[in-house]
Amino acid sequence: MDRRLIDAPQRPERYARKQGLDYFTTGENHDYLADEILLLEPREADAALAAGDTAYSLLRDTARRCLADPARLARLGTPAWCRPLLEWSVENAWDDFLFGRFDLAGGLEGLPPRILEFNADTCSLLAETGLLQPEVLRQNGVKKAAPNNLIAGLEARLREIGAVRKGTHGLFAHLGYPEDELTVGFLADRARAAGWKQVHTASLPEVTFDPDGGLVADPRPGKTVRYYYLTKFFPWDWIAHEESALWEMLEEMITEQYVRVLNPAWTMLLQSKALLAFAWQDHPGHPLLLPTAFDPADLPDPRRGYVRKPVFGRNGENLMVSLDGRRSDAARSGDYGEQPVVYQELAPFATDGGKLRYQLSTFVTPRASALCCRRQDGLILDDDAEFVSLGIR
Amino acid sequence: MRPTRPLLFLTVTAGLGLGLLRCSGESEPGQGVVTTVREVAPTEFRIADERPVDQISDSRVIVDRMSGDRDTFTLAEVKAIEQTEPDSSRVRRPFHSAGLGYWGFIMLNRMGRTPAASAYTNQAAYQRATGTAGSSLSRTSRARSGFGRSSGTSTRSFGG
Repeated sequence: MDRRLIDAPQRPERYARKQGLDYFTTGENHDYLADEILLLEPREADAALAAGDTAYSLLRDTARRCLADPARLARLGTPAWCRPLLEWSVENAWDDFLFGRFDLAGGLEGLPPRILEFNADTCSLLAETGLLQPEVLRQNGVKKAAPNNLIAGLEARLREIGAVRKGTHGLFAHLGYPEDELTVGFLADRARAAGWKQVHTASLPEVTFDPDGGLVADPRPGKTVRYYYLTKFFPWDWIAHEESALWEMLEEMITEQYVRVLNPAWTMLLQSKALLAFAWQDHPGHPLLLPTAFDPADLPDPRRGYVRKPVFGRNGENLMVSLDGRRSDAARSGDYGEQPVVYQELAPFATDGGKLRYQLSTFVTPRASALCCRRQDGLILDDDAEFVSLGIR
Repeated sequence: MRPTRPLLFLTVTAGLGLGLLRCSGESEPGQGVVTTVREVAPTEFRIADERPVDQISDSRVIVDRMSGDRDTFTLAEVKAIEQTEPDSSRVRRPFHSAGLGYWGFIMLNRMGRTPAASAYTNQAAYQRATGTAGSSLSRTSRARSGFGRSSGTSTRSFGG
Protein backbone atom coordinates (compact mmCIF):
# COMPACT_ATOMS: atom_id res chain seq x y z
CA MET A 1 0.00 0.00 0.00
CA ASP A 2 2.68 2.47 1.00
CA ARG A 3 4.35 2.42 -2.42
CA ARG A 4 1.16 3.77 -3.96
CA LEU A 5 0.99 6.75 -1.62
CA ILE A 6 2.73 9.88 -2.79
CA ASP A 7 3.41 12.99 -0.76
CA ALA A 8 1.05 15.91 -1.19
CA PRO A 9 2.76 18.75 0.67
CA GLN A 10 0.88 21.44 -1.31
CA ARG A 11 -2.45 22.20 0.36
CA PRO A 12 -5.29 23.89 -1.46
CA GLU A 13 -5.96 26.46 1.25
CA ARG A 14 -6.04 29.52 -0.99
CA TYR A 15 -8.25 27.80 -3.50
CA ALA A 16 -10.57 26.63 -0.72
CA ARG A 17 -10.85 30.15 0.65
CA LYS A 18 -11.67 31.50 -2.79
CA GLN A 19 -14.37 28.87 -3.20
CA GLY A 20 -15.79 29.53 0.27
CA LEU A 21 -14.70 26.04 1.32
CA ASP A 22 -12.13 26.94 4.00
CA TYR A 23 -14.33 25.03 6.45
CA PHE A 24 -12.63 21.91 5.03
CA THR A 25 -9.07 23.22 5.39
CA THR A 26 -8.98 25.33 8.57
CA GLY A 27 -9.73 25.20 12.30
CA GLU A 28 -10.74 21.76 13.52
CA ASN A 29 -10.49 20.48 9.97
CA HIS A 30 -6.99 21.80 9.19
CA ASP A 31 -5.76 18.21 8.80
CA TYR A 32 -8.90 16.82 7.14
CA LEU A 33 -7.28 16.74 3.70
CA ALA A 34 -4.56 14.09 3.89
CA ASP A 35 -0.97 15.06 3.11
CA GLU A 36 -0.73 12.06 0.79
CA ILE A 37 -2.40 11.08 -2.48
CA LEU A 38 -3.39 7.50 -3.22
CA LEU A 39 -2.76 6.17 -6.71
CA LEU A 40 -5.32 3.63 -7.88
CA GLU A 41 -4.68 0.95 -10.45
CA PRO A 42 -6.93 1.53 -13.49
CA ARG A 43 -8.63 -1.84 -12.90
CA GLU A 44 -9.37 -0.90 -9.27
CA ALA A 45 -11.02 2.32 -10.44
CA ASP A 46 -13.06 0.44 -13.04
CA ALA A 47 -14.15 -2.14 -10.49
CA ALA A 48 -15.23 0.52 -7.98
CA LEU A 49 -17.30 2.31 -10.62
CA ALA A 50 -18.84 -0.94 -11.79
CA ALA A 51 -19.65 -1.81 -8.17
CA GLY A 52 -21.64 1.44 -7.92
CA ASP A 53 -23.66 0.73 -11.05
CA THR A 54 -24.39 -2.87 -10.12
CA ALA A 55 -25.23 -2.13 -6.49
CA TYR A 56 -27.53 0.76 -7.42
CA SER A 57 -29.62 -1.47 -9.62
CA LEU A 58 -29.53 -4.38 -7.18
CA LEU A 59 -30.57 -2.32 -4.13
CA ARG A 60 -33.36 -0.54 -6.00
CA ASP A 61 -34.68 -3.92 -7.00
CA THR A 62 -34.68 -5.05 -3.36
CA ALA A 63 -36.26 -1.75 -2.26
CA ARG A 64 -39.25 -2.36 -4.55
CA ARG A 65 -39.66 -5.85 -3.17
CA CYS A 66 -39.58 -4.49 0.39
CA LEU A 67 -42.24 -1.94 -0.39
CA ALA A 68 -44.57 -4.70 -1.54
CA ASP A 69 -44.10 -6.60 1.73
CA PRO A 70 -45.33 -4.90 4.95
CA ALA A 71 -43.24 -7.23 7.14
CA ARG A 72 -40.07 -6.23 5.31
CA LEU A 73 -41.07 -2.57 5.34
CA ALA A 74 -41.43 -2.60 9.12
CA ARG A 75 -37.97 -4.12 9.54
CA LEU A 76 -36.45 -1.34 7.46
CA GLY A 77 -37.36 1.00 10.34
CA THR A 78 -40.00 2.69 8.20
CA PRO A 79 -43.26 3.57 10.02
CA ALA A 80 -46.31 1.99 8.37
CA TRP A 81 -47.87 5.39 7.72
CA CYS A 82 -44.95 6.27 5.46
CA ARG A 83 -46.06 3.68 2.94
CA PRO A 84 -48.49 5.77 0.83
CA LEU A 85 -45.87 8.39 -0.01
CA LEU A 86 -43.19 5.74 -0.53
CA GLU A 87 -45.46 3.91 -2.97
CA TRP A 88 -46.37 7.12 -4.77
CA SER A 89 -42.70 7.97 -4.93
CA VAL A 90 -41.73 4.63 -6.47
CA GLU A 91 -44.54 4.93 -9.01
CA ASN A 92 -44.06 8.59 -9.91
CA ALA A 93 -40.57 9.68 -8.91
CA TRP A 94 -38.52 6.56 -9.58
CA ASP A 95 -36.34 8.48 -12.05
CA ASP A 96 -35.92 11.65 -9.98
CA PHE A 97 -32.80 10.40 -8.21
CA LEU A 98 -30.00 12.98 -8.17
CA PHE A 99 -27.07 11.73 -6.12
CA GLY A 100 -25.83 9.08 -3.73
CA ARG A 101 -22.62 7.47 -2.52
CA PHE A 102 -21.67 3.87 -1.89
CA ASP A 103 -19.06 3.21 0.77
CA LEU A 104 -16.90 0.22 -0.04
CA ALA A 105 -14.66 -2.13 1.88
CA GLY A 106 -11.71 -3.53 -0.03
CA GLY A 107 -11.36 -2.56 -3.66
CA LEU A 108 -7.60 -2.11 -3.19
CA GLU A 109 -4.58 -4.39 -3.06
CA GLY A 110 -6.42 -7.32 -4.58
CA LEU A 111 -9.27 -7.20 -2.06
CA PRO A 112 -12.65 -7.33 -3.81
CA PRO A 113 -14.91 -4.28 -3.40
CA ARG A 114 -17.86 -4.97 -1.08
CA ILE A 115 -20.77 -2.65 -0.32
CA LEU A 116 -20.67 -1.38 3.27
CA GLU A 117 -23.64 0.91 2.82
CA PHE A 118 -25.39 3.28 0.48
CA ASN A 119 -25.81 6.93 1.42
CA ALA A 120 -28.93 7.23 -0.69
CA ASP A 121 -30.58 10.32 0.67
CA THR A 122 -28.20 13.04 1.92
CA CYS A 123 -24.67 12.00 1.01
CA SER A 124 -21.72 14.20 1.91
CA LEU A 125 -18.16 14.54 0.50
CA LEU A 126 -19.46 16.34 -2.60
CA ALA A 127 -17.46 19.58 -2.46
CA GLU A 128 -14.31 17.74 -1.39
CA THR A 129 -14.58 15.34 -4.29
CA GLY A 130 -15.85 17.74 -6.92
CA LEU A 131 -13.69 20.76 -6.17
CA LEU A 132 -10.88 20.14 -3.67
CA GLN A 133 -9.66 16.77 -4.93
CA PRO A 134 -8.84 18.03 -8.46
CA GLU A 135 -7.05 21.01 -6.92
CA VAL A 136 -4.96 18.80 -4.60
CA LEU A 137 -3.92 16.71 -7.60
CA ARG A 138 -3.13 19.80 -9.68
CA GLN A 139 -1.06 21.51 -6.99
CA ASN A 140 0.92 18.38 -6.32
CA GLY A 141 1.62 17.66 -9.96
CA VAL A 142 -0.46 14.48 -10.31
CA LYS A 143 -1.47 14.47 -13.96
CA LYS A 144 -3.82 11.51 -14.02
CA ALA A 145 -6.88 11.78 -11.81
CA ALA A 146 -8.99 8.85 -10.73
CA PRO A 147 -12.47 8.91 -12.35
CA ASN A 148 -14.15 12.10 -11.18
CA ASN A 149 -17.11 13.29 -13.21
CA LEU A 150 -19.09 14.31 -10.16
CA ILE A 151 -19.70 17.89 -11.25
CA ALA A 152 -20.45 16.96 -14.85
CA GLY A 153 -22.68 14.09 -13.69
CA LEU A 154 -24.70 16.25 -11.32
CA GLU A 155 -25.07 19.03 -13.84
CA ALA A 156 -26.16 16.65 -16.58
CA ARG A 157 -28.72 15.16 -14.22
CA LEU A 158 -30.00 18.59 -13.15
CA ARG A 159 -30.19 19.66 -16.78
CA GLU A 160 -32.31 16.58 -17.55
CA ILE A 161 -34.60 17.31 -14.62
CA GLY A 162 -34.81 20.99 -15.56
CA ALA A 163 -35.54 20.21 -19.20
CA VAL A 164 -38.88 18.71 -18.21
CA ARG A 165 -40.06 22.18 -17.15
CA LYS A 166 -39.11 25.47 -18.65
CA GLY A 167 -37.60 27.87 -16.13
CA THR A 168 -36.97 25.50 -13.26
CA HIS A 169 -37.26 26.96 -9.76
CA GLY A 170 -35.26 25.11 -7.13
CA LEU A 171 -35.00 25.57 -3.41
CA PHE A 172 -31.98 23.98 -1.71
CA ALA A 173 -32.50 23.50 2.02
CA HIS A 174 -30.37 22.40 4.97
CA LEU A 175 -30.67 22.32 8.73
CA GLY A 176 -27.98 24.85 9.50
CA TYR A 177 -24.86 22.75 10.12
CA PRO A 178 -21.97 24.53 8.36
CA GLU A 179 -20.78 21.48 6.41
CA ASP A 180 -24.31 20.69 5.24
CA GLU A 181 -24.78 24.29 4.20
CA LEU A 182 -21.67 24.02 2.02
CA THR A 183 -22.89 20.79 0.49
CA VAL A 184 -26.22 22.39 -0.32
CA GLY A 185 -24.43 25.43 -1.74
CA PHE A 186 -22.36 23.12 -3.94
CA LEU A 187 -25.53 21.47 -5.27
CA ALA A 188 -27.22 24.85 -5.84
CA ASP A 189 -24.19 25.96 -7.89
CA ARG A 190 -24.58 22.85 -10.03
CA ALA A 191 -28.24 23.73 -10.65
CA ARG A 192 -27.27 27.26 -11.68
CA ALA A 193 -24.67 25.85 -14.05
CA ALA A 194 -27.36 23.54 -15.41
CA GLY A 195 -29.47 26.56 -16.32
CA TRP A 196 -32.06 26.49 -13.56
CA LYS A 197 -33.76 29.85 -13.54
CA GLN A 198 -34.38 30.53 -9.86
CA VAL A 199 -32.06 28.88 -7.36
CA HIS A 200 -32.15 29.72 -3.69
CA THR A 201 -30.54 28.14 -0.63
CA ALA A 202 -32.23 28.40 2.76
CA SER A 203 -32.28 26.75 6.13
CA LEU A 204 -35.31 24.54 6.64
CA PRO A 205 -37.00 26.70 9.32
CA GLU A 206 -37.13 29.61 6.84
CA VAL A 207 -39.05 27.57 4.28
CA THR A 208 -42.84 27.73 4.13
CA PHE A 209 -44.68 24.54 3.28
CA ASP A 210 -48.17 25.36 2.13
CA PRO A 211 -50.38 22.47 1.04
CA ASP A 212 -52.64 25.00 -0.65
CA GLY A 213 -50.01 27.27 -2.10
CA GLY A 214 -46.86 25.24 -2.62
CA LEU A 215 -43.30 25.55 -1.41
CA VAL A 216 -42.48 29.17 -0.69
CA ALA A 217 -39.45 31.11 0.48
CA ASP A 218 -38.25 34.69 0.42
CA PRO A 219 -34.92 34.93 -1.43
CA ARG A 220 -34.73 38.52 -0.21
CA PRO A 221 -36.93 40.61 2.06
CA GLY A 222 -40.21 41.46 0.41
CA LYS A 223 -39.77 39.00 -2.45
CA THR A 224 -41.66 35.74 -2.19
CA VAL A 225 -41.01 32.95 -4.66
CA ARG A 226 -42.68 29.62 -5.12
CA TYR A 227 -40.38 26.70 -5.87
CA TYR A 228 -41.27 23.48 -7.60
CA TYR A 229 -38.12 21.51 -6.75
CA LEU A 230 -36.89 21.00 -3.20
CA THR A 231 -33.37 19.61 -2.90
CA LYS A 232 -33.07 18.83 0.76
CA PHE A 233 -30.18 18.00 3.01
CA PHE A 234 -32.28 16.67 5.85
CA PRO A 235 -32.96 12.96 5.59
CA TRP A 236 -36.33 11.36 4.94
CA ASP A 237 -35.79 9.16 8.00
CA TRP A 238 -35.33 12.30 10.10
CA ILE A 239 -38.57 13.74 8.70
CA ALA A 240 -40.42 10.50 9.45
CA HIS A 241 -39.11 10.15 12.98
CA GLU A 242 -38.59 13.74 14.14
CA GLU A 243 -40.93 15.94 12.09
CA SER A 244 -43.88 13.77 11.14
CA ALA A 245 -46.03 16.88 10.56
CA LEU A 246 -43.61 17.84 7.79
CA TRP A 247 -43.91 14.34 6.30
CA GLU A 248 -47.70 14.71 6.18
CA MET A 249 -47.40 18.10 4.58
CA LEU A 250 -44.86 16.90 2.01
CA GLU A 251 -46.98 13.84 1.28
CA GLU A 252 -49.91 16.05 0.38
CA MET A 253 -47.84 18.54 -1.59
CA ILE A 254 -45.89 15.89 -3.49
CA THR A 255 -48.88 13.77 -4.43
CA GLU A 256 -50.81 16.92 -5.44
CA GLN A 257 -47.84 17.78 -7.70
CA TYR A 258 -47.08 21.02 -5.89
CA VAL A 259 -43.49 20.07 -5.30
CA ARG A 260 -40.92 17.47 -6.31
CA VAL A 261 -38.23 16.51 -3.84
CA LEU A 262 -34.65 15.47 -4.60
CA ASN A 263 -33.77 12.87 -3.59
CA PRO A 264 -37.29 11.37 -3.70
CA ALA A 265 -38.95 9.72 -0.72
CA TRP A 266 -38.17 6.18 -1.93
CA THR A 267 -34.49 6.77 -1.20
CA MET A 268 -35.40 6.32 2.47
CA LEU A 269 -35.74 2.60 1.69
CA LEU A 270 -32.18 2.47 0.39
CA GLN A 271 -30.87 4.61 3.21
CA SER A 272 -31.93 1.94 5.70
CA LYS A 273 -29.07 -0.45 6.35
CA ALA A 274 -31.69 -3.14 6.92
CA LEU A 275 -32.12 -3.14 3.15
CA LEU A 276 -28.68 -4.77 2.95
CA ALA A 277 -30.02 -7.74 4.92
CA PHE A 278 -32.88 -8.15 2.43
CA ALA A 279 -30.51 -7.65 -0.49
CA TRP A 280 -28.44 -10.54 0.91
CA GLN A 281 -31.63 -12.65 1.23
CA ASP A 282 -32.58 -11.81 -2.38
CA HIS A 283 -29.05 -12.35 -3.73
CA PRO A 284 -27.27 -14.72 -1.34
CA GLY A 285 -23.57 -14.93 -2.05
CA HIS A 286 -23.50 -11.94 -4.41
CA PRO A 287 -19.83 -10.93 -4.69
CA LEU A 288 -20.53 -7.24 -3.99
CA LEU A 289 -22.59 -7.87 -0.87
CA LEU A 290 -21.49 -8.68 2.65
CA PRO A 291 -23.56 -11.21 4.58
CA THR A 292 -25.99 -9.11 6.60
CA ALA A 293 -28.70 -10.25 9.01
CA PHE A 294 -30.97 -9.07 11.80
CA ASP A 295 -29.44 -11.57 14.21
CA PRO A 296 -25.75 -12.47 14.29
CA ALA A 297 -26.76 -16.14 14.51
CA ASP A 298 -28.15 -15.82 10.97
CA LEU A 299 -24.77 -14.84 9.54
CA PRO A 300 -22.98 -17.67 7.70
CA ASP A 301 -20.27 -17.68 10.36
CA PRO A 302 -20.57 -15.10 13.16
CA ARG A 303 -17.10 -16.07 14.41
CA ARG A 304 -15.65 -14.28 11.38
CA GLY A 305 -16.71 -11.10 13.19
CA TYR A 306 -19.34 -8.50 12.42
CA VAL A 307 -20.32 -4.87 12.68
CA ARG A 308 -23.58 -3.97 14.42
CA LYS A 309 -25.18 -0.93 12.77
CA PRO A 310 -28.33 1.08 13.59
CA VAL A 311 -30.51 1.08 10.47
CA PHE A 312 -30.48 4.87 10.07
CA GLY A 313 -27.16 5.58 11.81
CA ARG A 314 -24.64 8.13 10.48
CA ASN A 315 -20.99 9.07 10.94
CA GLY A 316 -20.11 5.79 12.63
CA GLU A 317 -22.33 6.59 15.61
CA ASN A 318 -23.59 3.65 17.71
CA LEU A 319 -21.51 1.17 15.71
CA MET A 320 -20.14 -1.87 17.49
CA VAL A 321 -17.43 -4.06 16.01
CA SER A 322 -16.79 -7.62 17.09
CA LEU A 323 -13.76 -9.34 15.63
CA ASP A 324 -14.69 -12.84 16.76
CA GLY A 325 -18.49 -12.66 17.14
CA ARG A 326 -18.28 -12.83 20.92
CA ARG A 327 -16.83 -9.70 22.48
CA SER A 328 -17.05 -6.03 21.53
CA ASP A 329 -13.74 -4.77 20.15
CA ALA A 330 -14.77 -1.24 19.30
CA ALA A 331 -17.90 0.82 19.86
CA ARG A 332 -19.08 4.38 19.45
CA SER A 333 -21.79 6.20 21.34
CA GLY A 334 -24.24 8.43 19.52
CA ASP A 335 -27.79 9.48 18.84
CA TYR A 336 -29.00 6.34 17.10
CA GLY A 337 -28.91 3.86 20.01
CA GLU A 338 -32.69 3.39 20.06
CA GLN A 339 -32.90 2.19 16.47
CA PRO A 340 -33.20 -1.38 15.22
CA VAL A 341 -29.86 -2.81 14.14
CA VAL A 342 -28.39 -5.12 11.53
CA TYR A 343 -25.27 -7.26 11.72
CA GLN A 344 -22.88 -7.11 8.79
CA GLU A 345 -20.01 -9.54 8.39
CA LEU A 346 -16.64 -7.94 8.92
CA ALA A 347 -14.93 -7.09 5.64
CA PRO A 348 -11.20 -6.80 5.01
CA PHE A 349 -9.86 -3.30 4.34
CA ALA A 350 -6.57 -2.29 2.77
CA THR A 351 -4.27 -0.74 5.37
CA ASP A 352 -0.96 1.07 5.12
CA GLY A 353 2.18 0.63 7.21
CA GLY A 354 0.87 3.12 9.74
CA LYS A 355 -2.22 0.91 10.07
CA LEU A 356 -4.61 3.43 8.57
CA ARG A 357 -7.64 1.75 6.95
CA TYR A 358 -8.70 2.96 3.48
CA GLN A 359 -12.34 3.21 2.51
CA LEU A 360 -13.23 3.91 -1.11
CA SER A 361 -16.55 5.46 -2.11
CA THR A 362 -18.38 5.56 -5.42
CA PHE A 363 -20.77 8.38 -6.30
CA VAL A 364 -23.79 7.58 -8.43
CA THR A 365 -25.65 10.40 -10.21
CA PRO A 366 -27.33 7.92 -10.83
CA ARG A 367 -24.69 6.36 -13.13
CA ALA A 368 -21.41 5.79 -11.29
CA SER A 369 -19.53 9.02 -11.89
CA ALA A 370 -16.77 9.58 -9.35
CA LEU A 371 -14.57 7.98 -6.70
CA CYS A 372 -13.23 9.29 -3.43
CA CYS A 373 -11.42 7.85 -0.45
CA ARG A 374 -11.11 8.35 3.31
CA ARG A 375 -8.76 6.77 5.80
CA GLN A 376 -8.57 6.44 9.57
CA ASP A 377 -6.92 4.27 12.17
CA GLY A 378 -9.04 1.95 14.28
CA LEU A 379 -12.01 -0.19 13.33
CA ILE A 380 -14.62 2.54 12.88
CA LEU A 381 -14.60 5.33 10.35
CA ASP A 382 -16.18 8.53 11.65
CA ASP A 383 -15.85 12.32 11.59
CA ASP A 384 -12.12 12.09 12.27
CA ALA A 385 -11.35 10.37 8.98
CA GLU A 386 -8.95 12.02 6.53
CA PHE A 387 -9.93 12.70 2.94
CA VAL A 388 -7.37 11.15 0.59
CA SER A 389 -7.33 12.48 -2.96
CA LEU A 390 -7.14 9.84 -5.67
CA GLY A 391 -4.84 9.76 -8.65
CA ILE A 392 -4.37 6.90 -11.04
CA ARG A 393 -1.28 4.97 -11.87
CA MET B 1 -45.51 38.52 -19.42
CA ARG B 2 -45.88 36.06 -22.25
CA PRO B 3 -46.10 38.03 -25.51
CA THR B 4 -49.14 36.25 -26.85
CA ARG B 5 -50.62 37.86 -29.93
CA PRO B 6 -50.36 41.43 -28.74
CA LEU B 7 -51.90 42.86 -31.88
CA LEU B 8 -54.94 40.68 -31.61
CA PHE B 9 -55.49 41.81 -28.05
CA LEU B 10 -55.51 45.44 -29.03
CA THR B 11 -58.03 45.09 -31.77
CA VAL B 12 -60.43 42.78 -30.04
CA THR B 13 -60.38 44.45 -26.68
CA ALA B 14 -61.10 47.92 -27.95
CA GLY B 15 -64.52 46.82 -29.08
CA LEU B 16 -65.48 44.13 -26.65
CA GLY B 17 -63.61 44.86 -23.46
CA LEU B 18 -65.83 47.31 -21.74
CA GLY B 19 -68.84 46.83 -23.98
CA LEU B 20 -69.97 43.74 -22.18
CA LEU B 21 -69.70 45.48 -18.87
CA ARG B 22 -71.43 48.58 -20.02
CA CYS B 23 -74.57 46.88 -21.21
CA SER B 24 -75.13 45.42 -17.79
CA GLY B 25 -77.16 48.37 -16.60
CA GLU B 26 -77.81 48.81 -12.93
CA SER B 27 -76.01 45.65 -11.88
CA GLU B 28 -72.62 46.81 -13.16
CA PRO B 29 -70.04 46.07 -10.49
CA GLY B 30 -68.26 49.00 -9.00
CA GLN B 31 -65.07 47.18 -8.15
CA GLY B 32 -62.40 45.30 -10.02
CA VAL B 33 -60.51 42.25 -8.84
CA VAL B 34 -57.04 40.75 -9.10
CA THR B 35 -57.41 36.99 -9.36
CA THR B 36 -54.56 34.55 -8.98
CA VAL B 37 -55.10 31.30 -10.84
CA ARG B 38 -52.77 28.49 -9.91
CA GLU B 39 -51.84 25.33 -11.77
CA VAL B 40 -52.51 22.63 -9.18
CA ALA B 41 -51.86 19.67 -11.46
CA PRO B 42 -50.51 19.75 -15.00
CA THR B 43 -52.93 21.94 -17.01
CA GLU B 44 -55.47 22.03 -14.17
CA PHE B 45 -56.05 25.47 -12.72
CA ARG B 46 -57.81 26.73 -9.61
CA ILE B 47 -58.34 30.10 -8.08
CA ALA B 48 -55.89 30.70 -5.28
CA ASP B 49 -56.66 34.30 -4.44
CA GLU B 50 -58.99 37.16 -5.26
CA ARG B 51 -58.23 40.65 -4.13
CA PRO B 52 -60.59 43.54 -4.84
CA VAL B 53 -59.21 46.70 -6.41
CA ASP B 54 -60.94 50.05 -6.78
CA GLN B 55 -61.11 50.35 -10.55
CA ILE B 56 -62.48 47.70 -12.87
CA SER B 57 -59.74 48.65 -15.30
CA ASP B 58 -57.14 47.64 -12.70
CA SER B 59 -58.45 44.08 -12.76
CA ARG B 60 -55.89 41.40 -13.55
CA VAL B 61 -55.64 37.66 -13.80
CA ILE B 62 -52.32 36.31 -12.62
CA VAL B 63 -51.60 32.82 -13.89
CA ASP B 64 -49.20 30.95 -11.68
CA ARG B 65 -47.84 27.92 -13.48
CA MET B 66 -46.21 24.87 -11.91
CA SER B 67 -43.03 25.68 -13.77
CA GLY B 68 -42.78 28.76 -11.59
CA ASP B 69 -43.66 31.04 -14.52
CA ARG B 70 -46.12 33.77 -13.73
CA ASP B 71 -48.12 35.66 -16.37
CA THR B 72 -50.35 38.65 -15.78
CA PHE B 73 -53.33 39.40 -17.99
CA THR B 74 -55.49 42.50 -18.09
CA LEU B 75 -59.23 42.43 -18.37
CA ALA B 76 -58.94 43.15 -22.05
CA GLU B 77 -56.44 40.40 -22.68
CA VAL B 78 -58.53 37.77 -20.94
CA LYS B 79 -61.52 38.79 -22.99
CA ALA B 80 -59.50 38.54 -26.16
CA ILE B 81 -58.34 35.08 -25.24
CA GLU B 82 -61.86 33.97 -24.36
CA GLN B 83 -63.09 35.25 -27.70
CA THR B 84 -60.33 34.10 -29.99
CA GLU B 85 -58.77 30.97 -28.56
CA PRO B 86 -60.42 27.56 -28.90
CA ASP B 87 -61.54 25.87 -25.68
CA SER B 88 -58.66 23.42 -25.84
CA SER B 89 -55.95 26.04 -26.27
CA ARG B 90 -53.14 26.10 -23.75
CA VAL B 91 -53.44 29.85 -23.37
CA ARG B 92 -57.12 29.70 -22.59
CA ARG B 93 -57.03 26.75 -20.25
CA PRO B 94 -56.24 28.62 -17.02
CA PHE B 95 -59.33 30.78 -17.38
CA HIS B 96 -61.51 27.97 -18.60
CA SER B 97 -60.40 25.46 -15.99
CA ALA B 98 -60.71 27.72 -12.98
CA GLY B 99 -64.12 29.07 -13.95
CA LEU B 100 -62.66 32.34 -12.85
CA GLY B 101 -64.86 32.79 -9.79
CA TYR B 102 -65.46 36.37 -8.88
CA TRP B 103 -63.63 37.47 -12.00
CA GLY B 104 -66.17 35.69 -14.12
CA PHE B 105 -68.81 37.32 -12.01
CA ILE B 106 -67.49 40.72 -12.94
CA MET B 107 -66.81 39.83 -16.53
CA LEU B 108 -70.12 38.24 -17.23
CA ASN B 109 -71.99 40.26 -14.70
CA ARG B 110 -73.76 37.41 -13.06
CA MET B 111 -74.91 39.38 -10.09
CA GLY B 112 -76.08 37.36 -7.17
CA ARG B 113 -74.23 34.24 -8.27
CA THR B 114 -71.39 33.04 -6.11
CA PRO B 115 -68.57 31.09 -7.67
CA ALA B 116 -68.34 27.34 -7.14
CA ALA B 117 -66.17 26.15 -4.28
CA SER B 118 -64.53 23.66 -6.63
CA ALA B 119 -63.03 26.50 -8.63
CA TYR B 120 -60.76 27.38 -5.74
CA THR B 121 -57.55 25.80 -4.57
CA ASN B 122 -58.89 25.54 -1.06
CA GLN B 123 -61.73 26.32 1.28
CA ALA B 124 -60.02 29.37 2.71
CA ALA B 125 -59.67 31.04 -0.68
CA TYR B 126 -63.29 30.26 -1.42
CA GLN B 127 -64.46 31.75 1.84
CA ARG B 128 -62.38 34.83 1.28
CA ALA B 129 -63.94 35.19 -2.14
CA THR B 130 -67.49 34.73 -1.01
CA GLY B 131 -67.14 36.54 2.29
CA THR B 132 -65.05 39.60 2.90
CA ALA B 133 -62.48 39.54 0.14
CA GLY B 134 -59.12 39.16 1.78
CA SER B 135 -55.62 40.37 1.37
CA SER B 136 -52.61 38.80 -0.31
CA LEU B 137 -52.52 35.03 -0.50
CA SER B 138 -48.90 34.18 -0.91
CA ARG B 139 -49.31 31.93 2.16
CA THR B 140 -52.62 30.29 2.97
CA SER B 141 -54.05 29.39 6.35
CA ARG B 142 -52.51 25.92 6.32
CA ALA B 143 -49.04 27.20 5.51
CA ARG B 144 -46.33 26.31 8.03
CA SER B 145 -42.70 27.13 8.44
CA GLY B 146 -40.16 26.68 11.21
CA PHE B 147 -39.71 22.93 10.74
CA GLY B 148 -36.50 21.71 12.33
CA ARG B 149 -36.11 24.79 14.47
CA SER B 150 -36.82 23.09 17.77
CA SER B 151 -34.57 20.09 17.29
CA GLY B 152 -31.32 21.98 17.85
CA THR B 153 -30.01 20.41 14.71
CA SER B 154 -27.41 22.93 13.67
CA THR B 155 -24.88 21.23 15.93
CA ARG B 156 -24.64 18.10 13.81
CA SER B 157 -24.31 17.10 10.22
CA PHE B 158 -27.04 15.19 8.44
CA GLY B 159 -24.70 14.03 5.73
CA GLY B 160 -23.82 10.38 5.45
